[in-house]
Amino acid sequence: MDPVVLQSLLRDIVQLTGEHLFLVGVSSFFAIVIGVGLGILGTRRPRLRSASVTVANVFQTVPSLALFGFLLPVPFIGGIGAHTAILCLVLYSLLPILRNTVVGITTVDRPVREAAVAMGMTDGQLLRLVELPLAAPTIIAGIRIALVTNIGTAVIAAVIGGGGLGVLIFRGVASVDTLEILAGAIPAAALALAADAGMTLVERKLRRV
Amino acid sequence: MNKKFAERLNLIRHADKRTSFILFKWPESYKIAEEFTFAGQICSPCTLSRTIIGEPQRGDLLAFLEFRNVGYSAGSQVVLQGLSLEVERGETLVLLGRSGSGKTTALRLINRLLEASSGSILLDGQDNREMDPIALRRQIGYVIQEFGLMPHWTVEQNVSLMPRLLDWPAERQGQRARELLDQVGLGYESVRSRYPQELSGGQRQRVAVARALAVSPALLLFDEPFGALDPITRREMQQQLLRLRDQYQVASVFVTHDIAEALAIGTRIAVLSEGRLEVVATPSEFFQVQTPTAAAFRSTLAPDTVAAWKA
Repeated sequence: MDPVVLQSLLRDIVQLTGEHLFLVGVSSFFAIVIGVGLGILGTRRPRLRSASVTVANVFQTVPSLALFGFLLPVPFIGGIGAHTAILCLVLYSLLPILRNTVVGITTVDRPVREAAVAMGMTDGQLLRLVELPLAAPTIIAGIRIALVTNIGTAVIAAVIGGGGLGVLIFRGVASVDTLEILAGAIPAAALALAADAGMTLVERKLRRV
Repeated sequence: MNKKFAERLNLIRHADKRTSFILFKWPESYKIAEEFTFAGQICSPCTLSRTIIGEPQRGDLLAFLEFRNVGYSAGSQVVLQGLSLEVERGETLVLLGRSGSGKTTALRLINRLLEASSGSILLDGQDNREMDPIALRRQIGYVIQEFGLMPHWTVEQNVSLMPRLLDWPAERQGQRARELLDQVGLGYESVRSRYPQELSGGQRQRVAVARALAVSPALLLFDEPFGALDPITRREMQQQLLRLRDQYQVASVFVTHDIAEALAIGTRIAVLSEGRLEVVATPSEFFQVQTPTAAAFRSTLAPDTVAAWKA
């Protein structure tokens, strides 16, 4: 193989992996903030909980490619580029985080919660000292699922000009170039596996407590 | 003054179990004013004081905890109705009843885990609805059957829960934890850094009792605390509780459906049936009471237990 082609391919891999991480990082950050926040609020307000879980569920059921397509013609938030891709990824990874936050908090043992309240904890203290520490492993598990899915889904961002490793894959598919497909797919898979392993480690550490 | 008062109270109680007395809360001190029976009846200090000095004024109240015609309904279901009760300092009032009789509900109304639908509950003369619920709960010890220990906290952290909420200095918290764990018969050094899951049921409940006593509350609430323990541990815990009660001179309300436990622990037993108070009696009086639930509970006792109490 021509060393010049190989070199340019390597350069692409490095740059596009960076873009991919940017897409995943930014969208996961917002998904965690919104998901955990809504989840906590939902445990305080049952109506908000069912509404938010339903909405997140709907986003999850829309095929990811279609979700990207839907947002393209939407003014302001839509259009070509990374910001639309990030919005899609946020919506797409919201559900596991939101659901696990709600489940983690609501499954804290009733006697534990009752004792905490009866001894005079405020609602904020109950959340900070009891519910969040006990729900942490479940919430982390939700974040892990969201993150791993997110890394896979971010490949589609390339379709709407969002960049990332998807660029290599779609280019490879269009030009029937297996090497180029693999050059995109292998780093993407490696990222997902690494994220999964890392988060599993965090989760296990938290569960032991 | 409080300590001296506690000593007098103990003296009288130990000298003669049938003695009753009344306490007046003077502006600056307590005074043991009268004892024995009144008009041939054993009276609680409250009823006696009312007979003598009329309806108590706010602040003069003798009972530490008082239910006044308290009712509680959940939706259309009436859980409690017309409950009037008094509990004094140093006394353990047992709420005895079958499942669903409303005894746990009555207990939860005291620290406002539930809000009474009618009537009022007075603590040291003050309506508990006028108090901030958080501040109120931080003064009341609470022990439940399922322990309710924080699984992610060590024994020492669990015991220090209320001191921590009240912002005690760390040094004082540690000192108090040591004192408490020794008092409930767990070696401080051996259990302080262990987690609740590593302890037996009896040990866990000791931790829960120590936790409830941490800020030396004036009032302790127990919701079938020893229901999940084996009979031997249960007996040990009951005896320990009696010792701690004498030591702390705390008022306790103790919910149970175990008649033997009620007799062993209670200074008075209030029998609840379908949300109504059936009768209040001291353990020895309890054997003369003829109301249906009290009689039914009594019939579950072994004959020699009954004979021992009657003698």
